[in-house]
Amino acid sequence: MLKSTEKTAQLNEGALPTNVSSSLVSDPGTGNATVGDRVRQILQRGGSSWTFGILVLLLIAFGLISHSFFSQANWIATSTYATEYVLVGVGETFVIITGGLDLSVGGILALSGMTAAWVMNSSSVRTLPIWLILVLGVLVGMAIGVLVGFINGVIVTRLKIAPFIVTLGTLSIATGIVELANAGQPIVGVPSPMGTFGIFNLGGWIPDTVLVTAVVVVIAGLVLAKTRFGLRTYGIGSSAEAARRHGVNVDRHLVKVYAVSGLFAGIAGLIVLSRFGEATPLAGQNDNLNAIAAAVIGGASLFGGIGTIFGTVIGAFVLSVLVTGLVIANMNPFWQPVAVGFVLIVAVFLDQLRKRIGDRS
Amino acid sequence: MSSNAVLSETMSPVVTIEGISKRFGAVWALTDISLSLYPGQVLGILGDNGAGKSTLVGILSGSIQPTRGSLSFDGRHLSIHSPHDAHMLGIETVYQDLALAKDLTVWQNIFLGNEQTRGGFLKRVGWLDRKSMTEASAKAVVETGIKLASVESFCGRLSGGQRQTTAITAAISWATRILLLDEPTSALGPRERQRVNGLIRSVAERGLAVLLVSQDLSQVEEVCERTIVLRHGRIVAEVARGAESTVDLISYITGARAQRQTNEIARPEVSLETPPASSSFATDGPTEDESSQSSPALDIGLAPVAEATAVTDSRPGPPALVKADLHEVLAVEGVSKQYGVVSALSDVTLRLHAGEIVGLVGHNGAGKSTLVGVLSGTVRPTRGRVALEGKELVLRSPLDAHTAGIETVYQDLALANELNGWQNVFLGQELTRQGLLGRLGWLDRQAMAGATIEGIATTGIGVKSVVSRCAELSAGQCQTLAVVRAMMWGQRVLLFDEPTSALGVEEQERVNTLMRSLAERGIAILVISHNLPKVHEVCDRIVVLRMGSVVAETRPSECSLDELVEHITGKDGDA
Repeated sequence: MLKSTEKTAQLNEGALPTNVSSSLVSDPGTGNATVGDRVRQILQRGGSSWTFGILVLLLIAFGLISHSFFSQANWIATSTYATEYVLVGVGETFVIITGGLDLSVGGILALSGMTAAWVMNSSSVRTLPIWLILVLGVLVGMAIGVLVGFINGVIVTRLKIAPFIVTLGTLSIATGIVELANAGQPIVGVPSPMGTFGIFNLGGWIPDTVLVTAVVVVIAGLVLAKTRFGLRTYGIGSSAEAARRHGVNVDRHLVKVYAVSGLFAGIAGLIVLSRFGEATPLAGQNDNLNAIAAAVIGGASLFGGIGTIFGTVIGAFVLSVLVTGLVIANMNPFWQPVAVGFVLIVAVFLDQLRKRIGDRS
Repeated sequence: MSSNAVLSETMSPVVTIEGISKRFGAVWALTDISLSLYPGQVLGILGDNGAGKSTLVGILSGSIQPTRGSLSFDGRHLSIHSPHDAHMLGIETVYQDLALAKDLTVWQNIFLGNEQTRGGFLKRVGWLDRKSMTEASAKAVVETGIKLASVESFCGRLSGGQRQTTAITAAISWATRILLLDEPTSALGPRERQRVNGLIRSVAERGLAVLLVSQDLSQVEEVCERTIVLRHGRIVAEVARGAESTVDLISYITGARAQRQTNEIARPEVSLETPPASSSFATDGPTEDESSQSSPALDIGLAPVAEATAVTDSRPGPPALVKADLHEVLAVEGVSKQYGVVSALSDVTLRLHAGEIVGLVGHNGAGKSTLVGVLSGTVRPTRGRVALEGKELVLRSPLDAHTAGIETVYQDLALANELNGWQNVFLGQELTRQGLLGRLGWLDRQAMAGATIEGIATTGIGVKSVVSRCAELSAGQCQTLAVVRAMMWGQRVLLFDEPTSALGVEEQERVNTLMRSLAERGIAILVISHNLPKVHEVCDRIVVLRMGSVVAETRPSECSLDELVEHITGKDGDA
């Protein structure tokens, strides 16, 4: 009995809880925090730290197995690979913090890429200047994402259907439409600036796609940690009833959150499109689960109220390092989903443990 | 069964618990409870909300493990680790929330866990003997004498009373030694109630020990041989049938009478740690256990003195405030609320004045929470109007109430556990920075944290830190945050739903002082509380609700505690 209380106390302090204060930028400026509070805050910031530990361990292990792991080529491969997970994962993080789930991000990703490629290759825009075609394609891609996310949000809040079912439905619809769009064939060829953008590296070390992703993700992190939108996202996830009684329009906010998730999936679709120079119906097939995995491994709680963008980025890198590391170590890369499955189950178990011991009842 | 056998069994208890205490987080739900259940006897448990009745039932039924204390069954020490253990011992429970599977039928619910199978090979594969089970269920239901259309009905489709019947039937069918009933008739009409009472007696006559938790005094008086009154997790009275009048029992329940007499009866060990009975609130305090750290003043005997002065100070009434020229802030006129055929509020009229603290009291289900819901925008009234400063007010959502300057401290506090102090205080009303960033929704943490710290300082009740998550704070600290939040936004009217239920004596006193100072600023305050002595002490005016109607409106100076109790229970002649 006594033993177990000690254990729970430790877990409470050290293990997981993360919050606004531990998001991208920490802001200690609240004035009255004592040294003890500071220490506790730092301990809590460990929310995603065990994930960070796993990432470091993976890096060390793969580095020891193969010298070429820390090469420029592998860094570019890993970080480029990670952009897709990071983007869908960040959108998913917003949804998961509200206590919801978005299974449709992979479908949105493919739909956005296909639509953008279709618009940019259609005969009716051929007479326009090239920059306008690009802007049009990008805007359409993002708009498709927002639209599907908006539909998700409206169905979840108005028809009161579980997010799991709603997004499973829209995933199926989006995937079907993508296949129908070009009879199951990819749409090949994007205007050249977009194609070269996708494979160009800044100074040889920073791929363009990574740079764009970084900018977008930093903005997302600031929105979540610093703004009213972010606070309400956490508030609704922690207690929708409390938020409602405090005068927050919960339904409207949830619609916005699903739209944000759609937007990020749309952006991911455009990044993938620029990287491969073609839009394939097969894009994003594994992203639905990888998005959730990145967020949850990064410390987001499926019960809502907890999660950070920083954690999700770490989670996404764990996923991508596993792939490139296994390839470099000459192992079958299909061990990656196996490993991810293990890590994911452990992460959710810890989440539930935290919930059980953290609740005062 | 021969009556001789029953009599000889009466000598030794079926179950005895000794010194049982149960702690949830920082709160002691039960403190040092000792009692025995005897075969053929019905023991009644009375007490207010939060007195620890359901916790006691939970411990006997195996769903809650005690923090301290021991339990013996048939003279053997043992622990009941789970409801399954209890079942094996022949203990069955009708839970307050009934614990029925709503997608199963009545007979399936009755036999769930005790299924009967066909004979032969079919038995080995668990083939159910549906016919015998439906017949047995139908028979059992008929025996209860309560109407139920068919045992094939799905429980989800049944009315509250029918569901309760099903739960009671199931428990009676399987209980062989002890039957625990947690408010078994709360959803029943008077006639069905009578039938259940008869049923309880017949179960006892079969030689079972029965524990009956109830808020219904007449039921307890009719059915129970002995009755124990719990208050704040302690036994404050143990009386034999007919030994005390109804009003006496009620005054034990509400704390209007301390446990003087009780000490003489049965439990000297309790009296040892009870401060001198000079203060009627002495029993409100925390125990001698760990929780006493939070309130050291009680140990050195300061708190009762402070209480006493507070009482004498306010007893003459606050004459300065009760003036004829009181400014009316909020008017509730003819408000009714129907839920289907049940009317939760009927034609309630209530006025709140600037600078006045009004207490709203009544039994469970009297309509207090519904009225708070109406005023806070979470419940739409069926009829009637609410006016603020003479202007009609339509409250469609909490936001409307908020905009009008009406703020509520909810009983369950309505805080987000994962948010910290200032975030909870400002959620929904966030302050943003100046300029472009502010327009983008960039929060001004410094300002919000600072304002929260100031707000906490005015309450005089410490909160660990405004950057700690609420999940890490004690119940009392959370309550402080909820009060600070309401204080900050409630410019006109503040509604307190059980504002001090999670606080220690000293903190309660501070909240009371705080309410008084807020009232002096010209805010109208409505307090809902089960703690009658406190209401009587703190409020300028007391409104009594019963069955959804205002049955009395009085001033503490004109109405003794006992008279108040009579209004609440309807023993004042008009019922």
